[in-house]
Amino acid sequence: MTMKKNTVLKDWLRARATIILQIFLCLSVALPIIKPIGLPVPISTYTKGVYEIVESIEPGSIVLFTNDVSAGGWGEMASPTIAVMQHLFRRPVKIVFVDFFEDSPILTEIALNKVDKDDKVYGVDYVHLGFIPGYEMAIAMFAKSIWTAFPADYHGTALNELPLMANLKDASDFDIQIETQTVPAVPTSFMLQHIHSPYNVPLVVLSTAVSSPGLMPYLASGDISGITIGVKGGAEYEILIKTPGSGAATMDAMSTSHLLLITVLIIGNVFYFIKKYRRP
Amino acid sequence: MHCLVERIAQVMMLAIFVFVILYKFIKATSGAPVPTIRALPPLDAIKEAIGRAVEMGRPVHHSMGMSQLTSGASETLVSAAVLEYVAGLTANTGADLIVTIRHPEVLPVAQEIVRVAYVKAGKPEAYKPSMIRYLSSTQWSYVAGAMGIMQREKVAANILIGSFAAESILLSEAGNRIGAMQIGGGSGFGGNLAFLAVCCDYCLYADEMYAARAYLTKDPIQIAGISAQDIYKLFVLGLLIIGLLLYRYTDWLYKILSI
Amino acid sequence: MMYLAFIKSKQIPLAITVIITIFMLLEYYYPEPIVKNISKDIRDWSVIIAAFALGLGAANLLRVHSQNIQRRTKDIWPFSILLIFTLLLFFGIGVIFGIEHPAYNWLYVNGYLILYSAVFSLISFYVITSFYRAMSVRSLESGLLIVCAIFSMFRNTPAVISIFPYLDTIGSWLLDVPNAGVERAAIITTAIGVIAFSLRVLLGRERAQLGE
Repeated sequence: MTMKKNTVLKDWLRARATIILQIFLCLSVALPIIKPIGLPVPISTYTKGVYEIVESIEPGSIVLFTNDVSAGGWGEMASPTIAVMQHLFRRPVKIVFVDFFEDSPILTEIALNKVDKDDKVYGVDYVHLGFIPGYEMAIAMFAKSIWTAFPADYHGTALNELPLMANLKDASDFDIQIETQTVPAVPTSFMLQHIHSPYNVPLVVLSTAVSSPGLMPYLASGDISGITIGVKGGAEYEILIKTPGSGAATMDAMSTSHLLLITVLIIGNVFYFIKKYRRP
Repeated sequence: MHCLVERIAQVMMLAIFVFVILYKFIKATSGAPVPTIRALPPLDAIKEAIGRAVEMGRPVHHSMGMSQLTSGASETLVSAAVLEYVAGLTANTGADLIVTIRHPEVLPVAQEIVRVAYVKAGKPEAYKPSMIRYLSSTQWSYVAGAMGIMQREKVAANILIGSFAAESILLSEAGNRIGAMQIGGGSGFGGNLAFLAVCCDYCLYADEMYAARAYLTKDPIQIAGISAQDIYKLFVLGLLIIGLLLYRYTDWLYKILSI
Repeated sequence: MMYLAFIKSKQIPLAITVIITIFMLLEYYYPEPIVKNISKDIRDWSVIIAAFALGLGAANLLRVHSQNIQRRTKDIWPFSILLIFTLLLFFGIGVIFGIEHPAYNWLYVNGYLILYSAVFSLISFYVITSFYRAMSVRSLESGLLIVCAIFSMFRNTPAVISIFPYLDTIGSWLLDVPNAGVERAAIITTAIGVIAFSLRVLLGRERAQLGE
């Protein structure tokens, strides 16, 4: 009777393994967000590198911030985007925001509304040019002639009414580029090809975790000066600039969910080997 | 000066490659023996997958990938080449075909490819424009639509050869859940090839994708192009090794070239 | 008749491809004003075509889903009504009030962004089931893959690497050394493949984009 009960239970669990795993996953993510644990977050060398690059930008430099985040990737990229933006606004630099993906302009505005602009004036210290369709062609067009690509900014103001844009003609007028990269439609290689290589503009990439392995060769060769990786990179950056935000708040959930995934991977393999080597 | 040297080097490298390709093309057209491409099981499996679909009475799903014709066109065109082969098979076997498209400019290309394939098979009346479905230009809307189609129509074969990002895991897992036979392929950019490799029954890796048309059509010119690529890869490998040795053992030369 | 045949032939798109490629290549290696001006015009045209393509997509969606509603396609037609309603709502508010209007912003943030993120978050559920089902040590290669996956995941687990820093070192080494090497090889070989593919398109040996 007990053996029959055990078999029934085993079959029941086996049939519902997927749902049980997904419930555990939901709990491992939701519970630490609802009730934070406060687990430590060490800072990686990658994030530290980007922080030092932004910290060492010369006063008066003009930064090109290209935001190519999709609405789906905003959950991961909001943290590093807002953190780096906040750091830039604290520094005596000027920033031009450009979007090459259709979802990005509103997300750039959302991020701009969240950061403390530290008395910086729109049109003088920073400008949001908006979106231009065409992906690679748009990037090439922008790099060669900013005024041709954008007759007006995101709010419809003509560029000749914006003092910051007066002396910006092409990509060579920028001192550094910071790119948020989530979508395959606008990969980092387009920025390297059309902005970094021809105009020698140093490039820093705020990358998703899944895209970061593909960018490592560029980092090793020096084509990319620095990289942050996913929401963890964003959380580390928030800690470095002493402004915890959405990234730092999700680190507990990151730890618990990753531990769950590793456990599932190991358990899955244990069951696999038991099944394989069990005596018939 | 450095910029000029770089440009000259780039032109020389491109010229060498063009020379090798043209040489191979001329040799192929003059009737010289054609080299063979090693077996590519994912492409061989397409026939098996479509045969399975016919037996089960369920449709075949082909995704054109996430790229357009203006950006990432090479992967889209590889997917189009595979679609041509798939459409020819479905026309001949009578399997239902569903092609899902993310970017609207790919739509007329896919429609023309499928229509011509059905006309060539002698079954123009079997072609229906509704076979090719433009779902959405946005990534996750496309994925939601494609997953819905796969699960509603219970596709028996799922062909995911093209440019895919994170949606590759959703599309391939959705296919797994309905028991579809899955053939994937990606160029390797962006690291999402790993999802296809894990979840698909067969997978084309990186450069194998660009050999798809040559392998499927057995066209001597196409195969000559692949052969030229392989020769050039060896040339680049040789240059890399020479560069590495020079960098390691001749500091003085490296310093001069860096000026 | 001969003119019609020529217009309908596939030679014109091929000729356009070749001419435009020559100008774009020439601009990179020979950036004289006349070449730059022509290349600039070509880029402008392609951006305009890309913008029109968005409209083409919307028109196609309207056509397909209107047909679904007309034919009362089983299980689909209620969602087709929802799709058309949403499309017209976004379009109407965007055109009448502009995309900066609070109404458009509200729709975007509380509708589109949330739904989009919800679909994106499905990845996690599919990943966990594929981990359980598919990631087994069936061979030496898959065993190595799983070991590397575990170290990579440890690198992304802040709580663990704060206790065991060497796990971060191993994970970072895997990312910086073997991964970078393989990605480098993939980039080089894929780039060679793309150049060869482009040459075949230019020489007219690759005609998939023409529907042949």
